[in-house]
Amino acid sequence: MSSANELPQLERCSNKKFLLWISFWALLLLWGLFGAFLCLFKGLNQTGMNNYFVFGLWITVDLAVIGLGAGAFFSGFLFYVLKVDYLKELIGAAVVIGFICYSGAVGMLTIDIGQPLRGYFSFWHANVHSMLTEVIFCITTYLFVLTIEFVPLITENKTIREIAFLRYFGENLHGIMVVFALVGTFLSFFHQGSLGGMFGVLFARPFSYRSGIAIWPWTFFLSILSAIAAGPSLTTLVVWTTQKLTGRRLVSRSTLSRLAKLSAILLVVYLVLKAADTIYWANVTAPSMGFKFTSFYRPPYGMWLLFCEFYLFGLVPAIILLIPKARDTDFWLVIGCLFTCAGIVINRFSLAIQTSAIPVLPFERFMIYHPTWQEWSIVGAIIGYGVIVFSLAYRYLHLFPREHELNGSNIS
Amino acid sequence: MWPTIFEFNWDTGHMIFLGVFYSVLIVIATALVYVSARSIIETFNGHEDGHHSGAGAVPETSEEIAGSD
Repeated sequence: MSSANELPQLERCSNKKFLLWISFWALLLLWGLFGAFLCLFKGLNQTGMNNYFVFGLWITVDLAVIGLGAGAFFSGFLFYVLKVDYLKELIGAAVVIGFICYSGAVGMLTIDIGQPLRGYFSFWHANVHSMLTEVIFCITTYLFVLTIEFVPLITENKTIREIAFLRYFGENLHGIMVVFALVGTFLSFFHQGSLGGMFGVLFARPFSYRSGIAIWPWTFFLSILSAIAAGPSLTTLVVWTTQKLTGRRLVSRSTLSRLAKLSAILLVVYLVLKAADTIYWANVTAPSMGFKFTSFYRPPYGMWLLFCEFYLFGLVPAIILLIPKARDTDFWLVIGCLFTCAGIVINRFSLAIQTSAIPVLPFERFMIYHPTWQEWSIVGAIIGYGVIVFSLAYRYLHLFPREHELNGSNIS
Repeated sequence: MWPTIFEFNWDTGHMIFLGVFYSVLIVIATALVYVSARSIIETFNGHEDGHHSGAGAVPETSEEIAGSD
């Protein structure tokens, strides 16, 4: 955090250009709000979910964005607790991305539960034996923590700084941010884990059931690992894209490469453990429940999903980002980070959709899930909302502390 | 969530889960109260120039950040 007289005036596009940019995403947001209205007014019959697919597109996207939003807690932990200083360049952006991911996920869950007015039931009548309870408690609390982490960025705004109390509040909050970083790490560790763990404990669903340690199935730990591997990749992608769209250098190139390398190392650790888990599950767990490994993979959810998750969007980006020359090249950096993010989306898709598609009773058949336009519209709304919030944050807040220095000649 | 709620039992699960949850909430609330109180005091008593509210442990200027590359 900088003091008022240190804050530079940064060059931004004209209001007209900005409004034009925002209006496209606002239309997407409005389309989603219309879809949400239909779902709330007419009910969940507006969706493709049914008695087979109680988790649909929204849960898949929820799991994915929460996993990808892990960049916020992981960067915060590395920066505030472990003092990895180079992350200072983009810690603000990581917090905003995390805030967008979590608030978007909570917004989507509000529609998904069908009757938002009864949303408080999960707190009030907490079922402490359900991993979903842990997830809902941790996600909402962590969203609150992310909001707190967002406040110092907002209070750095030139106009807001003129109000003494808000200025001091932001600075004091920043001063003890390590507390919130630790709380955020604690909360994230459990809800990231439980989001994977809740599938691992489904004894009646042999596709996702896993053995584990005590009450935690292996998917609990794999979920955390995959999230902290993919989170930095999304942060890298967003920062890189912002640089390209604005035509300004926001962070040093070496920082993006270092973040991508960190992502790749964690991805390799995740892939090794995931491979071990899959081999054990395919050869021991599933056969012990009367299932053959190959029986789980049928069109359209065939072996290609496993291939994509492990190789195309797993091993390939890990190798790309581990090669110094490749990650120092923009093209390969983007491909590597994009593929890493795609990998986590496919993993969450398999957990949420494929698990429900596979028959577990003799009279059941292999099911296919078709999301409706209303479901897609709400996903679109989350994307629109995210772009709008990040654009506003970039335009009005001081997200990148080195922007002034890296664009010395263009300062207005 | 509260012992007075229907179906709440004083079992191990509730005590551990809600105990940890309320501990987290207490930490967050305490931190916010501390920050608010300190900010109110500074608003009325003035703020020393160059004071950074204990944030000096992390790099503040671009030179410091660049130095860590």
